[in-house]
Amino acid sequence: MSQIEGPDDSQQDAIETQTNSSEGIEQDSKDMQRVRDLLLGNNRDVVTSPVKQDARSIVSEVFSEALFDRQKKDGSVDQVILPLVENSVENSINNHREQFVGYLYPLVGSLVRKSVTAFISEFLEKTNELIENSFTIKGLKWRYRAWRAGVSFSEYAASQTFQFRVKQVLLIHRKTGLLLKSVAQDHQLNDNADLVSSMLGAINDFVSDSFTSDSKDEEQNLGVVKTDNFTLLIKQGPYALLVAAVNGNESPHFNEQLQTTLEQIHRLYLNELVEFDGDDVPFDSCEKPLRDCLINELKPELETKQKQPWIAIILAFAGIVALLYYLVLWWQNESLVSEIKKASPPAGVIIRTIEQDGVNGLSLEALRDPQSTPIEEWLQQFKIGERTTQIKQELYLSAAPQMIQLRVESALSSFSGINTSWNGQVLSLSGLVTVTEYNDLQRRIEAIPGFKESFTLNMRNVSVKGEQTVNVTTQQQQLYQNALAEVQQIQFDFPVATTVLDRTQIEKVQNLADKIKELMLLAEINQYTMGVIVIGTADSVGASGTNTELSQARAEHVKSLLVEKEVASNEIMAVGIGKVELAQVATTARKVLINVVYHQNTLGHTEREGN
Amino acid sequence: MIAKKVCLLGPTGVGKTSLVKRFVEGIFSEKYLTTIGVKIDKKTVTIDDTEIQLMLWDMEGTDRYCGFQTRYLRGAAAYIIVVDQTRAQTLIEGMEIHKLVKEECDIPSLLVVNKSDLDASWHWTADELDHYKRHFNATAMTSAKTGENVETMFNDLASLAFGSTQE
Repeated sequence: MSQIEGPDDSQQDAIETQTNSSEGIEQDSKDMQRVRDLLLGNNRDVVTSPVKQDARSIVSEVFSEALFDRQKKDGSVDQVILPLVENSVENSINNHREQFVGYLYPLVGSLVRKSVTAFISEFLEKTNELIENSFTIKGLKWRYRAWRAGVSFSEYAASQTFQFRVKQVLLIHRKTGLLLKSVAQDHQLNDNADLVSSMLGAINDFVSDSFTSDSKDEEQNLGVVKTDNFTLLIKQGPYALLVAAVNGNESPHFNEQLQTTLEQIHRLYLNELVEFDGDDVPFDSCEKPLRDCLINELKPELETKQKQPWIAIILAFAGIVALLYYLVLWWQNESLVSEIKKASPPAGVIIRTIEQDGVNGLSLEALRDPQSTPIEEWLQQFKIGERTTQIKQELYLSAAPQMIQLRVESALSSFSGINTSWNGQVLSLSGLVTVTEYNDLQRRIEAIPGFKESFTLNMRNVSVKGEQTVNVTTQQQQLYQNALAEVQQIQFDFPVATTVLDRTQIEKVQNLADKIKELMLLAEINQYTMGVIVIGTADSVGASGTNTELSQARAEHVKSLLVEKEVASNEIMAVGIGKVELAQVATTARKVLINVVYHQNTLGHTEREGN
Repeated sequence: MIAKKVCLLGPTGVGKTSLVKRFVEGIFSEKYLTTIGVKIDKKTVTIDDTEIQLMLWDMEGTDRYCGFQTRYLRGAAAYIIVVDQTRAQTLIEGMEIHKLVKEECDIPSLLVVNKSDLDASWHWTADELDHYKRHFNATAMTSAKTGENVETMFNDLASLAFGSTQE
């Protein structure tokens, strides 16, 4: 038997080899049949029966490995077994429905709860985004764009909201927390992935332990860890965790993708996961599905921003040109203002302020004497061009000699027969006028503000004419009479029972002194001898003697003031006449009156009263 | 590369964290120890020409009043019980912890008597110590302060972890 069995084994192998080759069977079946007949004859069962007896143990030894190898090779085992399993499960459920419901209830309940929780959380998040963006400018833009694109606002908002970048994906062994595989956009992130994985596992354990409920069926696990900068999405499987580090707002679609990837990994690597002993080599081939999860969803807006923003560039360029033009105008205007400030204004004009009015105008405030050059005319010498000028001027009387001269010229313009000659500080007039005109002329010139302070009027060459010709002597006498009248009309008032002038009355003393001096000059011209009598009076109240003293003291006071003003003392006589006994003025006659005594000098003739 | 999870346990103040600091440099703050009760570091060692990455779960010190997070032991390939030879009580507490761990999982264990740079001030006799040591797969005397025996101890731990079969 042993001799027979040895060849039998090899023959059996040959037979099996042949059996596995359908082509060989087809082609060589006849030849093989002939060989079998020759070798085994009718005792074929001697060989096959022992094999059949041991078939169970032979197949059981290699059954799992053979299935694994075949599945790995072409996946056909799934195809064969799947319908069988499905049928079995279907039959089993049909026959033991109650039991299955009992088994699945806790699982399905938990799954449904988790699913509903995830859905509501995503729905709320999406709703929050919608609400946040509905009432902003961005929201309005989105509405417009959604309307143009023909989609609902919610769809468009969702498409704009869920923009994100997955930076790293980690596959972690659930039980040990050890890293199975890691892929990252940036390779540096992978350096500490193993530590992060373990720590994440520890934190997950911590959370599970801290928040777990009484029932073991409801173990709590971390689903999301969210910070300001990134989100860790954690998908939990029975043997592994899939963790994605995401920047931005991930889409629901990405959540699904992660879940699907984790399920796929469980399906493909179940054995490796169950038997994991720390060796991560079997999971190298996970890289592809993990890398598929490294998604960059960039906003379309960001892409379009890469294009050159021509409109913005043109607007910016136009803005710069406009700014430069404005600066040039401003600079030109400022130069003009500086030039005007440096220039001397015409006589009688005082520039108070000058500044730019915009970039194409001037604003000027000035004081101007009516006789001076108009400011507009003065500005013509500068290159004003098209600029607008706003001039605010106030009129005033200038004390400048030029302006006084102009005023004199203006006053003299109505006197056709008068010629003027300016010689330093002396204005000399000449010509022929009537007496009236003569007086008028003198009065008007002397009335010109500032004239008396700066100039002296010489009218000796002015001849007076009339219906009857008047000689020069008569003119001078007339002038004397005028001056005499002015002197004699001056009076000083005193308060009750005082002998001293108050401030306002003292101011009149200078005027009186000037007029007395002028009168003395005219007296000399007319060859008059004259003297001034200063007469003090008193009111009728009080004793007569006292009033006489009062009136005398008042007269002496005024005389002393005149002497101070350089009127010769020996030409003034002070006399007090006591109280004035005139009913009309008796109570107010506290005065000093001025009177002048004069007479024509006659050679060798001196009359004395009392002689 | 092969990675192994190993846990360090022991009473408070025996020098677990110091031992790990001697051995590795990690990225996590020790605040983790008091917040979630564990801090993880890594170190790659070579055993029989095979590189093994040890993931060291340094667990918060335990005492008789508070247990430890047994969930952290899941999937561990080995563990160390660290005791302090200057405090006799730490050995008793270490043995209690050892017992608790054994109830959770059956994996190789290493007894580490730390602070060997100081004089032993506990009262255990050599026989008593041997009795306790027999409960462990291996023992070591270390000093985290001087670094004495630390590297060797972790290499032994890696060997234990590499040779163990996970629960």
